[in-house]
Amino acid sequence: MKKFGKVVAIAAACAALAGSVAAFSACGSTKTITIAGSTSVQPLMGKLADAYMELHGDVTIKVDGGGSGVGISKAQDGTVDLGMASKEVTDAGVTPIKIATDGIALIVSADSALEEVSKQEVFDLYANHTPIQDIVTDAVSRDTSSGTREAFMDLIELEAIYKGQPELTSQDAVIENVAASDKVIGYCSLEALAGNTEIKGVKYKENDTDTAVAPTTDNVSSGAYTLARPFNIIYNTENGLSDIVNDFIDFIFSEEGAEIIKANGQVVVADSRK
Amino acid sequence: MAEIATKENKKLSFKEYIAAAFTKENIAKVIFVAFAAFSILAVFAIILFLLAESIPAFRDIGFFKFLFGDVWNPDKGSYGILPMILTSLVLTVLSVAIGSVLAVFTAIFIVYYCPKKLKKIYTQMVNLLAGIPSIVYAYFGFEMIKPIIEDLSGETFGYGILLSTIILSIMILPTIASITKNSLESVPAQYYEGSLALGNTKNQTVFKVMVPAAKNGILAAIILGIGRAVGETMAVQFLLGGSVVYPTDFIISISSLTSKIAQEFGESSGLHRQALIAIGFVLLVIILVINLALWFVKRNNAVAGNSVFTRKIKSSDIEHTAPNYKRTGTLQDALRIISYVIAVLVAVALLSIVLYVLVIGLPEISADSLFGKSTNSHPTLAPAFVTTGSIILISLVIALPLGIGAAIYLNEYSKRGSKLVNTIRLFIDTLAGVPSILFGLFGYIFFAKMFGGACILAGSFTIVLMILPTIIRSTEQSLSEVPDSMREASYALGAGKIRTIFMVVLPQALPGIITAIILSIGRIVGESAALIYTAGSNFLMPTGVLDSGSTFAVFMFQLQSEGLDTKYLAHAASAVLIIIVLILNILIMVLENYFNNKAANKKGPVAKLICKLTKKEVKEVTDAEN
Repeated sequence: MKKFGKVVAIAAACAALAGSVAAFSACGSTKTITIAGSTSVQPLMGKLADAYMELHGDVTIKVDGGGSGVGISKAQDGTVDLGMASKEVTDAGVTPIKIATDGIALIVSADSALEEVSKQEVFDLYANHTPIQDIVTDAVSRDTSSGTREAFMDLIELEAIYKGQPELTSQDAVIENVAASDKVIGYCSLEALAGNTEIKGVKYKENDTDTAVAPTTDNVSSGAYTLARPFNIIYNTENGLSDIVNDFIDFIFSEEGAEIIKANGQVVVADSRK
Repeated sequence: MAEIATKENKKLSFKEYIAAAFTKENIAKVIFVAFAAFSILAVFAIILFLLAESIPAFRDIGFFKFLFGDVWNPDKGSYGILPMILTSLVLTVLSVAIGSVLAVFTAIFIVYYCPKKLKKIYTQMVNLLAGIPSIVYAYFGFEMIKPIIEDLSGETFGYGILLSTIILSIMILPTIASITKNSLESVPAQYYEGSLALGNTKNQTVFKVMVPAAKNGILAAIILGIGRAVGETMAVQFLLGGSVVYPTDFIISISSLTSKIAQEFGESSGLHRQALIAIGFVLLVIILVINLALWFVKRNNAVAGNSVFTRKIKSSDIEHTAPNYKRTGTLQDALRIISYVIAVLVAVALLSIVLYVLVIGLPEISADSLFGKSTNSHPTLAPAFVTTGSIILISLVIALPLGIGAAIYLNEYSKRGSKLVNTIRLFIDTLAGVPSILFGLFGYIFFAKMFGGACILAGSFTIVLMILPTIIRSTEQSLSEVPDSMREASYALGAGKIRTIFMVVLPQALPGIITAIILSIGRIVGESAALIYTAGSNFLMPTGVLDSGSTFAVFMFQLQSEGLDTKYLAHAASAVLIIIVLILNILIMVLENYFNNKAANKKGPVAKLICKLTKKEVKEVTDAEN
């Protein structure tokens, strides 16, 4: 009987402990900014958040992945302070702020002979499995909830991709598959090119008569490289932005923020709030 | 005492009657029944909540369009899952076919052919294979097997059914092997001796008498393997490729039911998310059917096993053994050699996985990668230690009393064969068969929403449901091994039922409970599918139980799939996982030895406790007399 009592007492104590910890953690959450969404924006946002936290020791910024769809829906239902989306956002109830422009690079393995492609060639390969210049015979893509995929398909005007082609959950997996074979083309964020010696970006042209343009931030900035999409942060229009979130966004558009964005391989844009 | 009073004294007032009914004994019994019935509640909750969340998808998409449509393109609003159903089917059939052949021969090797010195180590090795997290299998398959397939086949991508089948059959092998081993061991020795006495060789005895006699146990093992294969998520998600097509080729990018959920759930919203939950519901229905099949096989176990054996010995064997001795003998001799070869193959597979992970991962382990400050852009494993630790702690604190209480009811209170007990057992088995991705979906719908988002508490509650069957079964098993004479002795000394249970029976069952705890820790450490949507997946140190955090396996999943420059940390995480699994396995082995020695030694803790109890009772009795 005593033992039984003890068990009950221990259980009660544990419950009380759990409860108090829960209450404690709930109290501290006012200085936390939660961000979730596009995995393409996530690396950049992670760096911005870390830099901001360095400056403001009392603020915690949590950056979760999930994908652009999640970023939008979580901003809509207010479960995060900011959503991230790597595409144009027109959904109801949320307001996007463009923080950068990101180029989408078409990538092949470093020793591939492919140097430039046209939109038509890319379309033929992805839609009909037609080889590009007899060099590249296969393509990899991201899965259907990827913002990069959606942006890419819009830009190439693809309706559907040929069947049986790998649809990968992450940019890493795309790069790995491309690096492993010289017959494969894939697409990824421009920043992934920097420092990676196993893959290279291919020059791209809209029309067969144009000159192909290399995927660099300068070319994205000037508009010569047309495979580009926005990096948006999204907030719930009704809830608006709290002071602390506003301050973080100010930081993104500050000079220090711009440095981080540039270093990460994206193109800096003007603050649309002003 | 109170019960006796009610019987003797029939003219009790209502108040007295209530007082008599609410004795400690009765209250305890009600609590134990409630704990035992919790599994029923859990299974119904999972079914109902998944169904409720799927109904909008069924309604908006159309039930038949959903089940029999062949285009999956959420962007364009087409949600057909027939190709995925077929892929799951093909994948399951292939991997169970290969996995069960390997497993049955492995079990035969362990029980009949393994040299005595090797037996313990080999059994432990198969257990270790069972303990390796699926995310590590995924990693091994992706990094090691996929390039080999690409080289051999000449295909650009090694993704697909072939790659997944190879990994999946190794993954389900330990489940099938350990249950087959148990049922082979429970075939009466007389069968073995009788067969030898009839002039059969050992090989003939093993393959013509013992294996057929254990037929039903093996069938149950294979059905359990089917359940695991259908429900396996994380490994196949990395290995299948992700395109939704019909399974027309072994090497083609493809999706199964589970892989699609894992691939898109985290990044879905609206109807897309509901459609994924509806896939989960379809999966649940498949699993429930498999569980029922298992239930029927188990129920007929003893009878069928014997009838098979008797028939064989009467009709064919006796007539054929002598004249065809040589001919029949060669087949069984060949089977013996096959079992040796397969046993070696399994050992090689295990060693290559462990060694590969350690060789790649150990160099990446450093003070910084383990304990350094984890930030969004420079994650370390420190938060994983904290998160995994707190989830283990919270879920055990909840699951242990629940599970032990349920086991006490099942073993100490229930009447054998009563309908309630049978129902409870069916539901516990069902809960044990639910794949972790479905726990993940349920935890997301129920717990995560309850707490306003993924957090450690929601993850822990989800885990409670997962580890509960393990704890109940393991505790029940060891409770049933406590000899009745101990309970009788305790009652004879005047101890009540609760006191007997807590002072005499439970301490005896301690080894079983500790084994259950270690097994549960192993499951929690390796779990990814159930935690990723319930406990969260970010890289920061959790600040409280209502904050999100990732465990090792989730961390590894995230590191492998996010577009971050953190491959090295995934290697380190997998090495840490393997090391933890190794330690847990060694711990179980050491503890088993320890308790076996204690049991052999008369002055063990249990014997001492009984002495103490007896002395105390005697003292109380003499005190009362004085």
